[in-house]
Amino acid sequence: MTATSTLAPAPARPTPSSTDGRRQALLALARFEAFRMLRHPLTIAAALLFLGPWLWGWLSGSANRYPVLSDELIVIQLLALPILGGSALIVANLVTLRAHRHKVDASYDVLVLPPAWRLGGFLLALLSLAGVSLLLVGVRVGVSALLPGAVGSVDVATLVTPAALVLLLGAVGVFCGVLIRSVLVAPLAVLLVLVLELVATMPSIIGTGWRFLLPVYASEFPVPVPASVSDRPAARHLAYLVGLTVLLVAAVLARAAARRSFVAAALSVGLILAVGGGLTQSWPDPGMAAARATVEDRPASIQSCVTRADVTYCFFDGFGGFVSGWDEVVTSVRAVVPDSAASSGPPLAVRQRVPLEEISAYQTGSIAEAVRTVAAWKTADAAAGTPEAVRVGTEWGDARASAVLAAGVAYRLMAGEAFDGGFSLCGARAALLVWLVGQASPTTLAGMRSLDETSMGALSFSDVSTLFGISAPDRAAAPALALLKRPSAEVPPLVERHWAELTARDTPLERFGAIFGVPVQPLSPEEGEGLCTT
Amino acid sequence: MTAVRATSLALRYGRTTALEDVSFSLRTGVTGLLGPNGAGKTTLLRIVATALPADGGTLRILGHDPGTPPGRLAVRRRLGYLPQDPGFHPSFTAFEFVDYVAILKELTHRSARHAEVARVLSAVGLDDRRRSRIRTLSGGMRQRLALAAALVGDPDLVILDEPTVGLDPEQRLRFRELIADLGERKTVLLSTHQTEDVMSLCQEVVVLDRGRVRFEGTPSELAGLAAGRVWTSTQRQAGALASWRTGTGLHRHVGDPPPGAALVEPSIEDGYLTLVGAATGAEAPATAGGAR
Repeated sequence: MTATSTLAPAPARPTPSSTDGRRQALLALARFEAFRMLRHPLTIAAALLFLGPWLWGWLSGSANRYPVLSDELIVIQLLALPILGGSALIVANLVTLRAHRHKVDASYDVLVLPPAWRLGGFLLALLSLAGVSLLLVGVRVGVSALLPGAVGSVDVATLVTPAALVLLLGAVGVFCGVLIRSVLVAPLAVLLVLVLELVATMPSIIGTGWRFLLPVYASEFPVPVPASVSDRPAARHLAYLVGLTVLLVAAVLARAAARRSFVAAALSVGLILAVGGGLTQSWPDPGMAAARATVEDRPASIQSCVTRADVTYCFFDGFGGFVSGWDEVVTSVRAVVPDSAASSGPPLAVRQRVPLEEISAYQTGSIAEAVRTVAAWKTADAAAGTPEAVRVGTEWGDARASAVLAAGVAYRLMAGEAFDGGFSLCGARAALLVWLVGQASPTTLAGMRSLDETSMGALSFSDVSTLFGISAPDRAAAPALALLKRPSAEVPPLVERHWAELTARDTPLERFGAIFGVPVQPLSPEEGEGLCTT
Repeated sequence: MTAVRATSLALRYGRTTALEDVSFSLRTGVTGLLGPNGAGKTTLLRIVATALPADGGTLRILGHDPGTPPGRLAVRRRLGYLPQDPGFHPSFTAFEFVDYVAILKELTHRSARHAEVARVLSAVGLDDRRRSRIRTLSGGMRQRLALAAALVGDPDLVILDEPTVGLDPEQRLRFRELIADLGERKTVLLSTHQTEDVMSLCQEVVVLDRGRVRFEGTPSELAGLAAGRVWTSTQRQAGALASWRTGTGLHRHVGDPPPGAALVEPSIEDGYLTLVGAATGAEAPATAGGAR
């Protein structure tokens, strides 16, 4: 100490507290704690972890699938629970235990603001974490919505759910701190949350009725589906989460001997929301079965169609943003097809399809059912005025999806009908299809190579929406891939000249090799052309 | 004006009697609370600080009954308490810590609160360390910070439990200045083992021993208890209540002097030893000077 200090009189004694003063102290405490919670290294790390990989994927171009906003929100929820929620749980727990850990209880016990109000301040401060979560989610969804090709809609309840999850887990952190005075409890609670998350992402291992009782639930379907058949009761689930949070708040305040009337009110509200939301979200929607049947079997009645050049594109509500991309693929495949072939058969149409029953996590489809579904689709397409429509799924933007659509279009142009399942293509047709897909664009070529990496014995163009993929044996794909290395101007005239021969069912692969001057491997004894019946 | 009036206070922990029939009163100024280890000083301070309820007796603090929730609240609004081992949040800055305490004292107006925090930090000489993290402060600085937290809100009653323990002589001197200044306007109850603190600061002294008040009066009255019972000699004398060798080489004795002994002026320490040493039979002053 170097200077002499004396205690100057206080300028004015603080105003004696009234109820308003206590509320103001509560708010001041909440502000103070909120500031510290937001500055906590764990909070900052969680925000970076939440945004970083997504931002990197977006900036580096590795995240090339066009965002479906409704689907994006589900992914965000699944990320927000362990990352943002987990950090909120630990940070809230540390704040609650801070006075005990630092042995300040003795001093704080004789201060004016009672323990229940102090805990109230901690709980209120969690709103800041929830607010930041909402902001982070908003940034992700907002940027995704601005990306080219973004489709789908944003449901407000689903948008708010990550923030509600943060509040819930933050309240769990406070509750743990009040109940058990050890910092080891919070990490264990986060571990439990991770287990719950794991269960949530495997909907088949829990019943349909129970999955909504988890803090998050994954979609029943592995691909985006139209909003009308999404079984996510988002608003009721949000009410359920808020109810659980209010119940935890009531438990915390009861433990801190808060005013009974307040605890009782919180308990009542929490019970109503948690039980009401929890029960009603599991109730089956009577109109859902019909809506699903419409989407799967008769989509034409609810789809919109646009015509580009002479091609008709039909899509589910909210998916119109994909049409430009589809059209690019269709145009580039048709560009090397003779005009006579391009205009033969019914007018070319592309229809969005999603086989709900076959891809649901709660049902087990069979091949026979899939065959019946495809047959029904053909009938429905004909009835809707788009016979032999090429099928396209609800995911778009990555190279694989482009390659699958290009293969569907190529087959349609070669065969005059949509692919409806069966064995591999064979002979010259198979090689021609592979070449048509590969030449369409660098994207389709990349998609094809990517599909090839995961194929065994044959190059299969399929995704969950096509039910049956078109495949070409590796023996047929090899000369086509070799041909793709030739200068692009050399091949199309030959294709146009030999189109009829190349697309005939009985033209052998050797003929393809002879026309284009590319080597063809001899047929091995175990490899029979008989398998290629399509 | 009487700020605290305790009448027959009692507290038991199971079969152990911590306090029994404790009566005293505190007025504006500094009152020292002396007593050997285990005398019940901290327990008594915690009762007066409203951290602990008494089992029996009556207590009025600043005109309120701390036994009732409204009375307790009213007392806490005008109370500053520095416990024996104050804790800190190491990651807080000095300003944040006192600000936090101020919020818990319900000082809600932001700018006024910040002005008050600045005032008490300045008063304890931590003005230039207000932005420093507590983990970077020395032990003496932390002790001053704890005092600042106790003083925030300009309390009428300040309870200090051994605030000068661990401080170097200069810091102790500064602390004394501060407490003396405080005692001019406020009621300060100071628990200490340092008789120098009592001598230089206190207008009143309460001596507690084995849960009972053994003395209540002025420091000179406490010293007066040993009048005619303190003497020096060249040799240690077995019959004395307490005796020790001083820096001059002479032995100082407290007790019944032998005929012809060279009597000297008693100090507070002598009075304390006369009072407590007689009761405990302790070989003081080791008893009085030891740390808790």
